[in-house]
Amino acid sequence: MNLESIPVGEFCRILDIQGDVLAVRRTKELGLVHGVVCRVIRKAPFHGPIELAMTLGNIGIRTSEELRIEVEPVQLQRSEAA
Amino acid sequence: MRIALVGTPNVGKSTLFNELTGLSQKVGNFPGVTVDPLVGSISSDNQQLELIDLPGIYSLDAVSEDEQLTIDVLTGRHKAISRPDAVLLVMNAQNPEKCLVLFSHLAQLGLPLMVVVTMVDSVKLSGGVFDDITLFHELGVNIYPVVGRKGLGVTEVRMALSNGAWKLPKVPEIEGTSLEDRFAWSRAVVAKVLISGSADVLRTRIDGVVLHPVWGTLLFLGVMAFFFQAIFSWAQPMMDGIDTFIASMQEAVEHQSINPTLRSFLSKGLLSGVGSVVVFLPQILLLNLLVVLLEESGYLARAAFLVDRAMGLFGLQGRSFIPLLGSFACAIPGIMSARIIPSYRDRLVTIMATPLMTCSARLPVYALIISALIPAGTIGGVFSLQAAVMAGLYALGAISGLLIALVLKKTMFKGAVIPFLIEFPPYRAPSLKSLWVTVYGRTKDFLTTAGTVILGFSIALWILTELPQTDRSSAASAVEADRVQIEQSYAAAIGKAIQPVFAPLGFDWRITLGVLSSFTARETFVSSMGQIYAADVQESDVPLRNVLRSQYPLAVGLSILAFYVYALQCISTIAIMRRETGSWKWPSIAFAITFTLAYLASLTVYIIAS
Repeated sequence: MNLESIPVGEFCRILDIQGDVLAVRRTKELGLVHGVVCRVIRKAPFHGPIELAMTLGNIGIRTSEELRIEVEPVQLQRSEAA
Repeated sequence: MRIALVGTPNVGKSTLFNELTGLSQKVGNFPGVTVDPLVGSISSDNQQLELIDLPGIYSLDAVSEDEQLTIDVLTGRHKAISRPDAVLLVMNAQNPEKCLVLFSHLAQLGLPLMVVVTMVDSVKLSGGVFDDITLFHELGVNIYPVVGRKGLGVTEVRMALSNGAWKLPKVPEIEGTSLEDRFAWSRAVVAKVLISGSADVLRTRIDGVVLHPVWGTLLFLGVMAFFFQAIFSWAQPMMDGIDTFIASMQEAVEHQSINPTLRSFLSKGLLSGVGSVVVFLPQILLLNLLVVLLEESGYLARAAFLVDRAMGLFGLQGRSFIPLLGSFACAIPGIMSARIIPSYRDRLVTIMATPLMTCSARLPVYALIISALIPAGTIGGVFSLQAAVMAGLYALGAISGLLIALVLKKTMFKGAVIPFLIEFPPYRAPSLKSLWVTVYGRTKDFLTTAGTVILGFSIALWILTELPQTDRSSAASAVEADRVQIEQSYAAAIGKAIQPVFAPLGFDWRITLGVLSSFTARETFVSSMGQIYAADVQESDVPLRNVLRSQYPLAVGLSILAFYVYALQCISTIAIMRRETGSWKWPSIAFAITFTLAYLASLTVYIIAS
């Protein structure tokens, strides 16, 4: 499933990032690499950017046709989370 | 020795640079670069060190032109900037993973390295531990912890730089070359050197408000209103003070018994030229101060998150909002503030849209023409027709500017699509020294680069409007002498010569002359029309607007207004565009686009209205 379908507050694991070569590389350089678990903190209204929390800090990201992020939902206890 | 200052964005690199080099820094004057890196010098007893502040990077693969510059310099491929002798890498103790990934790339360059770790105090404050000794063993280079915004540890770094504490880094043993592999190595190192403290609860709470769809938006509107108020209103007393001062100097010169041409040059050429440069300083100081505060405090990234969706509709990004808003006061500080946008292309698109935002210099022109030629009726008995026209002009400018940005993004800048990606830096109090050094540096940069161009243009315009000198003694009065002078000038000759071009818009040679003379600043149109009609104003004893009302129909008024909405009638804007985009190409294109739009808009309005 894609990142947008993860509800706010839930965790997910990054499976694949597709799209524009530069956009994909920059996303990965910010730490959103395959296998990383992150939490959806908030979504800006009208399909605006999504804020994600990872162990290495928070990032804001707007998915589009140029940047598609495939994830799987992860059930985590709060204590396990970042 | 030349040292490159390198780091990922948001690690406190600029603050460290300001602390290390202070006021010695200047804009590196390298030919053909799209972004001018700052160069600062550090002198020690035995040698002169040159520190060059390169744009932030994440790896040796560039995503933007700014990053490409850093990578070209580091690899020795840059044409104008020679390869540095060593690299000073800035790392953030709170979140070192990305910095270590960058280190893994830099280690392969073969350049000696040194690492400065910032925000060690934040880690300690949250109850965590950062082990710089272990990091030294892992990376094989010297590690210096600093608290940049308090200046702690900076002296040690300065000494280490000159004492040659450089070492060639250990090349990390990473299996594979993918980013995943590099991050795996980086995480393993972080696990050895960093024990994170407790999560930043305060930050989470602040974010809960600042990024809230309702409260966050209200706060954003409040901050922007404050921002606009500051550059629009608070700068005004200082600007008036400068105007008064220049006027008193001109007054003093006018009373000197020297050659009249020289007197006119000193007063109307040189002094008013200097005045037209210096008058921007209050706005530039205030805007740069506010922009650096927004950026350093961590708020800018949040604001960008909030408005990104709306700006994205026009192919712009969240940060474009600041330059565009600033341009409603004046495009000069507005265009300068576009430096907060990290990619050259996004910066360019934003800069191209800024001149269409209704700046405060257009207001006197709008006010004169509206009060003179728009009827004073109301719409539905409530809204004043004149006020509605004024509001319409603001909206027309803003919408057209955004549409130009959209068209440019879809045509000339097609391709490079970097969707919104932003790191949220922690909230922090900005370093006062860093703030002062940045604002001082940008102001000095404005005076030396754009300022000289503005002064040159102003003197050229003096030649056009004040030469050839007429014999003032034969005129009946000073007012009459002014009128004769402007009507006999080269500008009037040019105005008359090119008047056929403007004739379809309903402009007679007087309006054409007013438009030409307003190139120094748009509001000059008002004083030029004042000079041209001075005799009529005096004879009939009515205000200028009444004289204009008797001279021109409504259609001409609308045509002038439409022209001023679009035309890039401002040499200062052209000069600052040249400065910030690095070539005359972009100001020329902007001038061509806006002139064409201005002409077509005026023509359409004139034909429909008459």
